[in-house]
Amino acid sequence: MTVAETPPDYSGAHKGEDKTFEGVWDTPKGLRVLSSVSHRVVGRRFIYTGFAFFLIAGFLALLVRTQLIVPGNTFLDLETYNQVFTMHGTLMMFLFAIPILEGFAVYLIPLMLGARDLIFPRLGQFGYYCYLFGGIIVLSSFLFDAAPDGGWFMYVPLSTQAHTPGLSADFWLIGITFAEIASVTAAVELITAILCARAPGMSLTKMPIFAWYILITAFMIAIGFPPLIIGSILLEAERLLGLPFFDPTLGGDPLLWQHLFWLFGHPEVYIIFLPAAGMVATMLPTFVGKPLFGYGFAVAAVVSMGFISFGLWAHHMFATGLPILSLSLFSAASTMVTVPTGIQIFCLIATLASGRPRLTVPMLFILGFLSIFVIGGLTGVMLASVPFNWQAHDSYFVVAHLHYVLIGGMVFPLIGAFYYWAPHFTGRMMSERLGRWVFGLMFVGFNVTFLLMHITGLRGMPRRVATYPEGLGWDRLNMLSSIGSYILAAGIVLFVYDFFRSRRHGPIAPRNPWGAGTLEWLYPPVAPGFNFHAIPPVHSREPLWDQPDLLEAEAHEVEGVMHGLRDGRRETVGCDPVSGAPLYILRLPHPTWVPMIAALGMALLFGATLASAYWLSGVGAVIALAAFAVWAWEPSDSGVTRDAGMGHDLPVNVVDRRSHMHVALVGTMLVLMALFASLVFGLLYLWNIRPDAAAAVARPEALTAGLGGLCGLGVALAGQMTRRAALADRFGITTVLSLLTAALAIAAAGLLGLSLGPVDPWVSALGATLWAIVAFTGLVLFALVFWALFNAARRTARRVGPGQSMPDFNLATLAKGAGLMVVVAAALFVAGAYGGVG
Amino acid sequence: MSPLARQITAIARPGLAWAAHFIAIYALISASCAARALIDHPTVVADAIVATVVALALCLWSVVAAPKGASADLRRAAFWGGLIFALACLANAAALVLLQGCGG
Amino acid sequence: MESTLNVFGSQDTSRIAGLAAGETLWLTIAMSVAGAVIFVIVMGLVALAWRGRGTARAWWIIGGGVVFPVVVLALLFTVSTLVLRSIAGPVAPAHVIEVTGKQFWWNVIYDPDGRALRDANEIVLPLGEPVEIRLKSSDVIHSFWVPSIGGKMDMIPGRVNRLTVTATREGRFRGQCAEFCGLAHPLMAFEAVVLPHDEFDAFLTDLDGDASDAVTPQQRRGAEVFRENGCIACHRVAGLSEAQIGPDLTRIGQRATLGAGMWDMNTGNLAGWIVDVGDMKPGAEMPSYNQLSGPDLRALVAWLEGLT
Repeated sequence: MTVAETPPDYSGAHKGEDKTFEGVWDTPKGLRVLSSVSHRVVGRRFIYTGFAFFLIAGFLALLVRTQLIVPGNTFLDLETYNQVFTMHGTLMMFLFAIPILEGFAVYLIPLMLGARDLIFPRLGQFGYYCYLFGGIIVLSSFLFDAAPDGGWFMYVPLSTQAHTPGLSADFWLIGITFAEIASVTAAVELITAILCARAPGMSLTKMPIFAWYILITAFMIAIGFPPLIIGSILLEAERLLGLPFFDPTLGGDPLLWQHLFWLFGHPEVYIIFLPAAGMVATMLPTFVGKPLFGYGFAVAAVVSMGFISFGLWAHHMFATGLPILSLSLFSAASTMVTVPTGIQIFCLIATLASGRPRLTVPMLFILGFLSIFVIGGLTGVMLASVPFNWQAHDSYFVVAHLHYVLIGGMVFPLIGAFYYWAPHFTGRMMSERLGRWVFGLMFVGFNVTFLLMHITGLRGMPRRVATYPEGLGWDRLNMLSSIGSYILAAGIVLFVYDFFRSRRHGPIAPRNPWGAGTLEWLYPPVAPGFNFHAIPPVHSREPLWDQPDLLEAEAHEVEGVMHGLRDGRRETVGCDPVSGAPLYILRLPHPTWVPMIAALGMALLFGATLASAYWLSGVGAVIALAAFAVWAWEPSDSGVTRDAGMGHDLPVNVVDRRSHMHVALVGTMLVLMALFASLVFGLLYLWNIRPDAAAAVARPEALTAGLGGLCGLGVALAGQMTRRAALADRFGITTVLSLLTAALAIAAAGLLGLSLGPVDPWVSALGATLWAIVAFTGLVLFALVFWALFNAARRTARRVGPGQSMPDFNLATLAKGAGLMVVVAAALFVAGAYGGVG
Repeated sequence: MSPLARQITAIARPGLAWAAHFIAIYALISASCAARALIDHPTVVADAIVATVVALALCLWSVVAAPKGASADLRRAAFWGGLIFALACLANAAALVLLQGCGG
Repeated sequence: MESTLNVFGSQDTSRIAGLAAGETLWLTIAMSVAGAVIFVIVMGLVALAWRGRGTARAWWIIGGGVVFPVVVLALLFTVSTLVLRSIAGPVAPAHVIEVTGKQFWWNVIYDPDGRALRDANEIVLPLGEPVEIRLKSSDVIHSFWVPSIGGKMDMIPGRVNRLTVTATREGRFRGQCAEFCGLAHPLMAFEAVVLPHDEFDAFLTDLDGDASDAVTPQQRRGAEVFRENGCIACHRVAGLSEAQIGPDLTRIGQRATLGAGMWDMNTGNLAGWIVDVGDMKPGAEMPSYNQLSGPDLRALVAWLEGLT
């Protein structure tokens, strides 16, 4: 089939038909730039916002070090100090480290993989605004003199209403949960982008190593964040509604919070480390002039690190009185994670040896990373030893260790990455001379600050103390650490100066300034609004090295698929997730305000909840839901075929498992399952740890719960039948089956709720958790009902053409997931009814 | 399955086996050492041995039967991934060898 | 808050006064030395690689990333688990001491299953005998840590944790709350005093009776002030009051520190504490008694100092 003379008339085709390719991809001007959905714009916003939080959190760190410079200092009072160190940790972990790395991923992944944008640009914009508004909520607590002061891991019962009255903990819980939505959406978006939108021929083995690092990180976020989200919601429910999840007098357990927190918190460390290590593995080969040595080893190491990092959480809880046997299990897993780390380090060392390294500024930061991170890793192994941990835990030794891992493993690579990719942001090179000073100051300052802290900790200084008496052997060490922190800060200040200086005065960056091998350097810097005029086929992991024609031609003359513009739409190529063969054309959205409005609705929902103005929360929820509906209402483009050039006739969208929509939904189901599993873990944990309290809980009604479970099966079945009918283009039946799915989902939710009739959530933690499971399952079922009715409405409104059955195809996946949750919940309730509870 | 898809499976299988093994060991220890004391220590050890043997088999499957296909790199990833996870499964079980009960 | 604290005992993990601290110290030294050696080797390899010029081999990764770590880690894990077994394995304790963490002080009960002898903010241990410290909390999570004696264990509401310690050296050793517990967390310390067996027994016997009698007229007046101003509503002084809201004061005059291990125990500090507790320990629940007249204050302090 050749390009149709007149494209068939479907409403989506006319978005920008009178515009040129550049015009269609142009970033909106003026205030409308806020409506941009381009990954270049959104990625940079993540990066700059994250860096702003880094500077604020760094300033707080200087306050901490200034307070501790001499014993008995009165620079800050106790309350302020507690707020300052809490906010330092919170901002660094939640609002700097993860968002900024996701920003780099959002910016770089499409460029490296040969896509014109991320697959879900609107989701990117939505995530960014969630992050921004969540961050503002957290920061605004300073204005209300209610800054959180319970430490960045918010241990209960200190963070419950009884011990932290007022709003400070609510600011933390609500703001951070809101900001985490951004992390989770970005994770789903990155998984899909990496699996579904790569240049023709880029099989998984041909992906740049950075994409592997980000892929694994994204999966880790999808599974690792849900425990904290659940924990935060439970804690907020305890604070707001008095549900006793963590109250030991009602069968709850403070340690449940620690389990949920560290189930997130330990993978989090690797979620921060892996993207940064991916940057190192991307930059280092450039300066050696040879590909990464041991790509297969590195992939094995990243995959195994991703898994094993979930088996370490309890090593943050070695002093909580867990059974010795449990401690040893976690101790063993904690030592084992060294193996994949070691493999990665030795891949880098071997790469160094395979060519002639150039000592540029990014390379200096890589060397800094190697030395500092190796020390952090070694002290990490020490901390995995239980007896040593009992001495070092919660002392300055741990403070030293975690900063070695995080600053060495993340901040040094990050600053190196800024120097490396600066041409993408400014079109100019940063200064090699100033860069060396930045590195020197940071390296010296860092080690002076934190190397000594190992000794301070072994001399018995606990962390999180606002003041300390003199004469315990800590005075001089603290003085030196504080001085070191000022040197480190001077390095950061110089870096910021260099960045702004280079925007005006740096030498203009040529095309591929470092001689790199990855695709993001195909176009000259000072990036245009678009990524590729044509998407070149890729045969190598370092296409710019191995495919000389790419750099010989002018960038816009490079040969590839999808040359120029079709139908006036933003589009890119969708590929087979494994082989990278082009499969379909992906239509991408143009700039829009809808995601921002959805995020604003969410902000209203969260902010009003914080202010206890619940009617306003309702308004926010309605705004958000309405925006989501408008977002999804856009007419489907699938069902037509276009000539993509180079012999590829591609349909617009495919309707099968390889579709980006389906891959994204599977990613989302992973998140939902992890959320559900966190609740089930909580239930089993409480049941197991407090048999006395469990015996006192009223039993669910078995018959009702069983019927609910049957409805759950029905939901899955009806969903699957809807998919079949839709694939066969049977319009009427599909609509009816959609409605049936919705009806069964409502019945399932209702029956599960009814079966808990005898269980009072306010008198026992176990009862509250049972209700939480119903509430969560109900929420998923609500989404399913919303979706099914939405599909039915679209069909009734004749907005669906033949071959456009993706929404129904996906409904089945969601229905099966929701059905599974209902069945598991029902099984737990039935087991509880038949004596399992007691 | 395409050869490449087989290789992806070969990479993912040991990880999933390790995860299942870790959860199994953790669940066994929790069942025996928490207040409810559902099972005794010999049962924990016996079940753990079974779990470990199964998990090792799944991990080493990727090591000995590295899937054929074009890419040496993915074969290597499957081989070493399998080996790392096999070691990690042994590490999970090591505590049960060195300690005689919940309290040491 | 100017402090005068060099009177305190050691809080250093390398000044060993307990079995666990001793075993952990050599583990620490061994791991630190091994870590330093490994660090130097890895950095040496980086330097060699820098001048490698195309000599990379896959076996480097296998050797450095898999074989070497596995051997070292297996060794480390085994040794560390054996140490763990020896310091935390089941032993029959000679004594039990119950310590309850409170914001921001420590309630102590010797022999909680028997004589239940109450004290606060100082823990006396017998030399060379295993003691089970039974750890509880009545509000938020605290953590019990005497670095020189060894180990650290959290005090968690709703749970009872057990830490067995054996002191190996006589003397005073400082302990401190290691889990962030709120406003005055940095001001929550205590002293562990290690006494030989006989003196420990004598200490318990001494504790098992009423507080010492007021001797001088001034001290008798002090006891009256204590009663008149409502101090008895919160503080226990055996023979005088049984309230258990604040720290037990039955033998406060004998303790070396004031305010949960924060201040040197002397007349000035004691008087300052009563008059303006908020200045010396923000977050303490005790109100300030700045309305006391000079003579009354001096009498009260004299009486308290005489409680030994």
